[in-house]
Amino acid sequence: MDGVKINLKVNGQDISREVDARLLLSDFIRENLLLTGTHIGCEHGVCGACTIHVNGDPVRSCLMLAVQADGCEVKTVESLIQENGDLNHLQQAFSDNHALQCGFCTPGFLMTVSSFLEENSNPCEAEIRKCISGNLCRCTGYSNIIKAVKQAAQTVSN
Amino acid sequence: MIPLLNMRLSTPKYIIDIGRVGGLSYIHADGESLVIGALTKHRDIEKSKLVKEKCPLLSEAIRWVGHEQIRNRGTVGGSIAHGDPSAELPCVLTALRGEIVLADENGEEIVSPEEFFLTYMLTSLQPDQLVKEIRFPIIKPASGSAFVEVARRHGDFGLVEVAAVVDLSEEGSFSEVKLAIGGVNSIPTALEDVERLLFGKEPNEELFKKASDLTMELVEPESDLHGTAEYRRELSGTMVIRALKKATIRAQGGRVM
Amino acid sequence: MTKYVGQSVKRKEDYRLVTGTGQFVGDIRAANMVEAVFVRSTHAHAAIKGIDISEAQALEGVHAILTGMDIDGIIKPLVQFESHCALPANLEEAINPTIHYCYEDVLAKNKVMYVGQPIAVVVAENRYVAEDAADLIKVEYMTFPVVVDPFKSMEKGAPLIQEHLQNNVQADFHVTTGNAGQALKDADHILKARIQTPRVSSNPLETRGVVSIHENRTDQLHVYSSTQLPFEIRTYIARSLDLAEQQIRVTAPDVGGGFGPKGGVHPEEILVPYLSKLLKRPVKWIEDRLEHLTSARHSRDQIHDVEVAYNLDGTILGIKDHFIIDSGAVNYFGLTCAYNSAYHLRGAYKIPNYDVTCQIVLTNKTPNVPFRGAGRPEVVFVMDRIIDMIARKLKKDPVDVMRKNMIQAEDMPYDQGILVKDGAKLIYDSGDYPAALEQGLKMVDYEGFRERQNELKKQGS
Repeated sequence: MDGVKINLKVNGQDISREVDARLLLSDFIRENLLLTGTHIGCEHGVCGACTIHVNGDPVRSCLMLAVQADGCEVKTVESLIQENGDLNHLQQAFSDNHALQCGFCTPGFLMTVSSFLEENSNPCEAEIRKCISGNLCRCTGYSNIIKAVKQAAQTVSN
Repeated sequence: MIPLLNMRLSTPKYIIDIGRVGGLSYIHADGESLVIGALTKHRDIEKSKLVKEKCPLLSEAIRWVGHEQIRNRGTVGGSIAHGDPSAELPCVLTALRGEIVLADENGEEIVSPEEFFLTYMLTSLQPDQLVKEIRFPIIKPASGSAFVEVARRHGDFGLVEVAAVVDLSEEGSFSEVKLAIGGVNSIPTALEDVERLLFGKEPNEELFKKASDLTMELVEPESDLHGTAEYRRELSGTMVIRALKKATIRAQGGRVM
Repeated sequence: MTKYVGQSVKRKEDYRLVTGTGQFVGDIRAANMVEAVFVRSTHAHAAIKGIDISEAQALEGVHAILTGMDIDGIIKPLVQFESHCALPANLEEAINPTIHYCYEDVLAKNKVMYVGQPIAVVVAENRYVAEDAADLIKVEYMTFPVVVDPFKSMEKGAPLIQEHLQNNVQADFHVTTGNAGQALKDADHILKARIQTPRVSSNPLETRGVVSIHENRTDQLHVYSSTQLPFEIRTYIARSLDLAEQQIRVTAPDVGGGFGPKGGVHPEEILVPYLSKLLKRPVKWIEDRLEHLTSARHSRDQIHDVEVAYNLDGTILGIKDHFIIDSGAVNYFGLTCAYNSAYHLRGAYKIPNYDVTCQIVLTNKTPNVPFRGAGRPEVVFVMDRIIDMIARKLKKDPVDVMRKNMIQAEDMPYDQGILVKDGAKLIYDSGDYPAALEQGLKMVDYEGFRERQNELKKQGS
């Protein structure tokens, strides 16, 4: 398989690698960059666990090839933590509200919600529900996730 | 496409990524049509004020396409070329009698949805062609339009969806009706017989019921895991009524949720 | 005590899970690690006439391919789990069970019994190459008649799922207390109904997965599996591969949801460790979602035919239930779900005459294992349906039928007249169920709900 050279920025770092043209972006992130916080749940765009940001927008990394990310700015769940090691407001809100149990879907939720909150500082419950409709969680039943998003939005507006 | 590759249902030798071809992402009004470049992302259409003004039917339908994470990557050309009979954009294009601009090295060709969609996931697109542009006829401000869909879960493939545009005469009867249905046949289908039935008549419950009955006769749904043929047929009738009512109220100047 | 009781306790695992630094099985890496992919049956019931691996073997980056024949006599088949199948002597005497032995080769050898059953395994440099190779493996089948309806499976002449058995009824038992037959004679009314709970697949967000590392110096296996039962897996790896349990360490790392399908031992959990020993390289296998839907175990799938004796005032005198569990191709868990169903059906109700027979039937479906609740949610549903149906017949509110039949606080301790699975008597020691019901009704504003319901009914919407 011929390698393709790609250059991209991941969590603020410039990355330059040669990859198989068929390598999925999700596998590139996990296997080549060893950023294993991005999880793979279905590989056909249904579950949302692999959600990352590409050029600021939340996307499914299992539905993109790594070569398509050439020249892009990618952010994964590993970018959320504060420099001093403290959780950011959204991560803290998830923990405070028991918005995770097994935690496998959580990175996808965090990435979906963090971009949502940038555009909606004071969302109502219906908007929050719509925002997370593309992410599946099997443990929590979603109520606590909604609570956590509300708390995170309030923390920002305060 | 990537799900098909991930499930190894398709193993093409080469894939050409046209994602970086310049100049194919645009939305502008051009005479009678709203012209949209094939590489325009669903999300751009969703956010476009121009689309909302010139083709509210498309604005309403686009929110039913997958989830935000999908709409951030998915393109209008991709949705059309995929030829999924339950997809939203082909249904809207069929209702509006829009146009698809195809290009190859020799030039361009304009085809109608009827010519383009052949059967499940199969279009008239040739290996050396690409979808370049989609032209959605502009909806007059006085018209009323509606897009309704039933899916198992918001963002899933639609079981049945209906797109409707209606115009009313000064007397209040239908002076024009455009109606298409998706999810029940092998391609999105314009309901021409139903359009003819409605033409010139005054909108009322009885007429909608007739339109609904005729629709149920016309569609040929199949059974699958998500619903039986009978259910889809029944749903087709119900959805036609809902779409017509919503569109009519809007044409009368009313607001519907 | 007061320090913790009633307090919310912070979870220790949250920090790593919200920062993307958890350690799920797919995140585990080791030097020289290779990846495995399984070839699975596309037929529900067929003989395997031949497997051609030549093209796959020739592919660059492929390290090993195994079929059922390659491990014949080396890896023992998976059998029903003893620890879950053994019954106390007094229970055995009370319910007189038959349980036939059944098994599954970890790679199908002569025939396949369900879609998704592993037939071959490919180990390659990475998953992409392994999947390429798996696509090149050609399996020649000769299809057999398929049986997916448990009633048809019990008919004479039905295709045998487990060929060493006489028929497809793998287990049965009978529980009784009081005199249900007499109650059916005495009652004002008899309700007859078939109540079904369909087959489900619980789909944790993280699929299954196994990583195995063999340490040459000590001949020890370190196996990571996304499992609910690490010790069970250790036991069965040891048995299947003829190792001592001390040679095996099984770690369940962060597990992305279990809910039951990760509660048994699957063929992959035996094969991946074997491969790591064989190849002297760490081997990883991560299930994909399609595999999970077919191969990871399913659950529920019970069909109850009930006869309920009840009086005009709503009193339930007795229940006679004959139920079937469609166990798929193998029953690994004996009477676990079946007996849980049998002894929980009556729940909070005082129904002194009770008679249950159960048959566990094999079909050409994915094996059925306990999921959350393990047989209990099924019968809670059955009992709720019985209450609703009686209420409808008598034109009463279902809650009134519940109230009529509930075990009262003063009845405690209350003896249900049968045994629990561990052989102890089923005696409810304490509780005030009617009070709990009333409290629950208040919390959901049951009366208000009924009022609104009636108003809406009048509107016709």
